[in-house]
Amino acid sequence: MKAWRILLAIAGLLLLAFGVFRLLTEIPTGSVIKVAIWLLAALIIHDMVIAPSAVGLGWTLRRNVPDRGRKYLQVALIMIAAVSVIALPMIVLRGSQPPVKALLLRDYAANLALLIGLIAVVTAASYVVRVVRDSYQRSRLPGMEKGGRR
Amino acid sequence: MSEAVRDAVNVQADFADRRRDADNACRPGRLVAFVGRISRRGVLTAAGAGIGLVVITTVGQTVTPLAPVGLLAPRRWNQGPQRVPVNRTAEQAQVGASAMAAGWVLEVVGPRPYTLTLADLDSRAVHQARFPINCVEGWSVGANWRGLPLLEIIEQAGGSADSRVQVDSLEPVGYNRSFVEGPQVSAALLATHLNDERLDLDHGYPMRLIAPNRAGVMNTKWLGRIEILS
Repeated sequence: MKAWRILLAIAGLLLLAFGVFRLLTEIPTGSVIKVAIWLLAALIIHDMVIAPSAVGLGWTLRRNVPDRGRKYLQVALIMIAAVSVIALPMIVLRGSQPPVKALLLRDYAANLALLIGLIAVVTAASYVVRVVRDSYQRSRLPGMEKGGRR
Repeated sequence: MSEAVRDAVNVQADFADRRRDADNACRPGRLVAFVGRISRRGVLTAAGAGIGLVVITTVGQTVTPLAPVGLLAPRRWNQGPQRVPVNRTAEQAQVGASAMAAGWVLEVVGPRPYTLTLADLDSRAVHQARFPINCVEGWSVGANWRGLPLLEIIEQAGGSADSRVQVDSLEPVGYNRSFVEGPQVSAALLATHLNDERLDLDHGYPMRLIAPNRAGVMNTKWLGRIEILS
């Protein structure tokens, strides 16, 4: 196991070195600087904006939402984040391109609202199923569960 | 039931509950397992489901049957001129005047050089083919093309199916040149018509290259010159 890990690490470091070598020798310096800025910006946006917001939101949910419903809300929010991150730039840039490109023509704000509604309906429905199932199980004696345990 | 038996039953049921929770946590597709806490698997599955939703709502820009659910697809292939989107417009390429000129000619350079006029295109553009445009920007769409086979043009100038061919656009800057070699020389079409209409200016009027297995940007538009290199 340990030998495998060392081999994998060596292979990874060699590939990394190859990539950096190619980047520095094949790509114009101006582009390398742009890549560096992009990577740094991604790091800053993730660590300074996205991660703290997620932690703060999780903390707020934990304080304000009952246990049973919270995870359904969390699942919905994770899915909403995924579709929103794709839709938001298109909402901003909609209509900015020449029409012949057939690019960014849709009403992405309405479509995002539709997808969020869909996610909300599906997760709410599975929450309702859970609540109904819980109350059904609670109405039976502990010893009468499925599987015939006594 | 005696007190002791009831206790034993309750303890057993408690164990069963815990075991069921643990089982559920390990069952793929089950989003939420433990009471009061989303499982790590649940987070991953939720993220996967979100990404899946993005895929389904964007992939329609290249998998045309899914176009109707392409709520987040940047391109709508059927909204482009002649039902094909344009990546680089004639305006961006600064070719409007030169491409629309009545005196346009295609210069064919090789052992026996000659030129083709617009009138020549009208009489000779009868070959049909169905090729897709595969854009490197992540969309593709199939279309019916009509024009002159590249091989016919270069054979007339002394080339052959083994030739390496350079095609030049009227574009002053940008991706204004590409090369055709290998099996593509026999497959390529110099298109004058797209989906049964005379090629739109934004699609490369009066003539463009179209060939299979070729990045969209390499299907050079607004052709002005063809040279047989070998």
